[in-house]
Parts: sequence; structure tokens; C-alpha cells
Amino acid sequence: MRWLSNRRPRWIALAGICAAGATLLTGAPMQAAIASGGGDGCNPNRSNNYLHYYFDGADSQNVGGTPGGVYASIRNYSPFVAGPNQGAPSNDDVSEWVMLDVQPASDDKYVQIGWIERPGGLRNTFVEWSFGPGKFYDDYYSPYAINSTQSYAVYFQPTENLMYGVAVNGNLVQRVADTDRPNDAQIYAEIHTQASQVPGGTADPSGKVAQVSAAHVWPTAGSSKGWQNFDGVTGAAGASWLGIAPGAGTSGVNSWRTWDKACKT
Amino acid sequence: MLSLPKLMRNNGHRLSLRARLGAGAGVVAVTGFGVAAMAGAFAPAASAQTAGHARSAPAAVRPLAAAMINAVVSDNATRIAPVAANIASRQPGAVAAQRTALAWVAKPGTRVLGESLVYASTIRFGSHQLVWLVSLNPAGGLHSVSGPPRTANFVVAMVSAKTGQWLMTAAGLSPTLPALPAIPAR
Repeated sequence: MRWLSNRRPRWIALAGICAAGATLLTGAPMQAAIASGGGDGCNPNRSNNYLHYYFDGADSQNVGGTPGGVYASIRNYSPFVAGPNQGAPSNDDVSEWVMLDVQPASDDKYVQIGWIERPGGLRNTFVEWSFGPGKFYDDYYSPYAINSTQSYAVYFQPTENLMYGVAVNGNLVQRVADTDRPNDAQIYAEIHTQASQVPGGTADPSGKVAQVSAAHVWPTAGSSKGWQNFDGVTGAAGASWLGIAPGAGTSGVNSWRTWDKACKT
Repeated sequence: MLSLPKLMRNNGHRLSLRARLGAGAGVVAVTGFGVAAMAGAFAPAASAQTAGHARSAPAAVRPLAAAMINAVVSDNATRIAPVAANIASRQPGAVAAQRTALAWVAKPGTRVLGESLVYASTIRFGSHQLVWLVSLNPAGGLHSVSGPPRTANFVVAMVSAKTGQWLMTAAGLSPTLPALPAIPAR
């Protein structure tokens, strides 16, 4: 697809996903309404090239034919999000999510959950599902505290009318039925213009805080083997300023840091 | 009954389903929304609120179209039951709910297209919550978060009629609804 032409084929399936949580982490309560932005972000001072997609994260290599779920702990980083002042549209966003999806990605079939920030520091917890190019559905909820870490999860249960569920910290927030079975699990940060910042701070933050940790996948829906390591292969395709550790192409990864190499402090 | 948690019970992962929606969760109660309201849900009325220009005088309640309600509940997990129109029209709080909904969008020029007082049952907020559904047309449009930049043709905020608090916003692209009239971003 045109909009994904600069991505690895496997990523194309992506669209965003969601996730759910299982392990209770910090358990910070949802904030009332809209956060004001946390000042985490740094303007990378790159020119706007809106509708160029960049993804920084990992794709599971531990998925059977039909995965039963994916979850991970994701830090609610507050990045710099390009807007009209940078030439990007006011409705653009930066997000980070977990997702079950259907490959090939050109089908635009996925279910995802995570955090989103729009220009002006407008943050939300979001759920998005898409079952084809002509239809999508979003739910926006109150955001979690900036820099808190929450566990996001997406589940799939084929015996329940192909029902998907999404959760945060183990609390189911939404579910949806569809006719498509997932065959892939991903966890990525996503931006749509190089004028926005890739989430995660700098290369060497104090303590090297993981942006994503405790990533797991249920490799085969219906299997009693249950949750297994995500065993992702890291990917940061499309630009040299996408930072990720372990480095891009590393396999067997369940925790990783991402950052924007333009951000030094 | 939702049996998703069955999948997650192992390994110590439990879901706490706050709202037991039952086997009929996919059944949507949408009655009382007149077809005549269809146009009203999309065509900005003369009295429509706009971001940055909220009026204090209560406007007549313009109920959302049935098609839009159907789009909101297309997640198969939300149920909506309307409050009788004659009661809804006397219920205070519609203007405040509009302001709250507009604040979520935070884009000057955004228009309110209609509002309905309903009982909503959702997984996140529980069953039978009295809420205002406020239909919005965001200036500049609202895109999907991920994937190709598809523009939503329904954006409906849910505001608690009891507390006035914004609860959530549902948005999406439904094949049963026309595109929202374009409002340039300011």
C-alpha cells in the first residue's frame, strides 16, 4: 500500500493495535479528562513530511497460526507532536500500542490499544479496530498519568464468535466481534511525520527506562500453553534517527527502549 | 455472557468485567430516535454550539439520528436506550454537555450537531448510565489513529448527565453514514 511503502512488508499489516493488560503495574488511576502534556517531549526540528509513517518497536516471532492475545507494559511518554505550526495537520497524532492484526497488512484489519497524543498535549487512552479499509472504530478514554507505565492487552477468543477484547491493567474496556482471525502480534510506537518525536526520550536516560517491557503473547488461541514471551524482533525502519535498543533486527526481545536520536537531553 | 476472561484466567491474569452485558450484549436497544432526526444529526443547526462560542442559553435538544446511534453501538458491546424525548428536552445540562464535548476536541470551529439523553451500558462505565451523547463535527476532521488516514464520519462524546464529566468519545467511519461536512481547521 502506498502509505506503507517505506515499511517492511510484515509491518504493513499494522495499523495499530491495542492491548490489554494483564499484569498490574503501577496502577495509576485514569486522569480526569485531558492531560496538559508533560513536557517530556523535545522538538526534533525536522521538516514536516506528513504521511510518511515511522514505526519503532517489535513484531512477535512467537505467534502460531492464530494468536490468542498480546500484552505489554508501555510507558506513557509524552512526545513532541507536530501540528499546524510545523505544517502538519491538527488532527495528526503520535501513539504507542499493542495489536493483533491480520496479515497482509494491506487488508487494514487489526485491533489495538495504547496511548495517543495529539498536538497541544491532548492525550487519551485509545482503542482502535479496523476490519477493512472502509471502516474503523475508535474509543477515546481518559489518559493515564504521563510517564506512568500501564499494561495494555488485546485478546482474541475464536470460540466466542471470533471475539476480540482489549484491556488495561487487566480491566476489560471494550470488545468487538469480527469474522477475521489475527495471525500477527505487534507492539510499536507510531508517528506520521518526521516533524514529530519518536517516544522514549533520549538514548541514555537515567536508569535507561524501558519504554516497553514484559511483552507477552499467547501464541495459539485456544491452546492451554498460555502466555509466552513475546520474543519479538526489533524494528526501526524508515529513518536513521529512530533509536531502539536492543538494536534493530535483534530477535527474542521482550523489553526495549526507543528514543529519537535528535533528542540529546 | 462474556467468556473472554476464560482465556486469561491462567497465569494469574484476570479481567474484571465491570458490566456484565449478558448474551444479548450484541443486541442494541435503539428505539425512539426518529428517522426525521437523521438530517438533524448531520446538518449543523443554526443554534449549534461551536468551540469557543458556547452559548449560555439552552438550545433545543436535537436528537441524534438512529443511524448514528447504530454506528456508536457497532462495537457490539455498547447498548443505548433513549430517554423519552419530552423528558430529555426538559433535562438541564445539555449545554454544559456540549461544552464538555467541545473541550475534548479542543479545536476552534468544531460544531455540535445534536445531542441525545440516553441510558448507556458500556463495559468501561457499567450499565444504565444516564448520559448525554453529543454528536460533533470536529474542525479539520478526526482521523483514525493508526493505519491509513481515514476520516471519521461520526464523532460522539459521552458525557455523564449526573456529574457533567466527559466519559469517552466514540468515533469512526461507518459505511452507513455520509461524510461529515468539512470544516477547515483554524
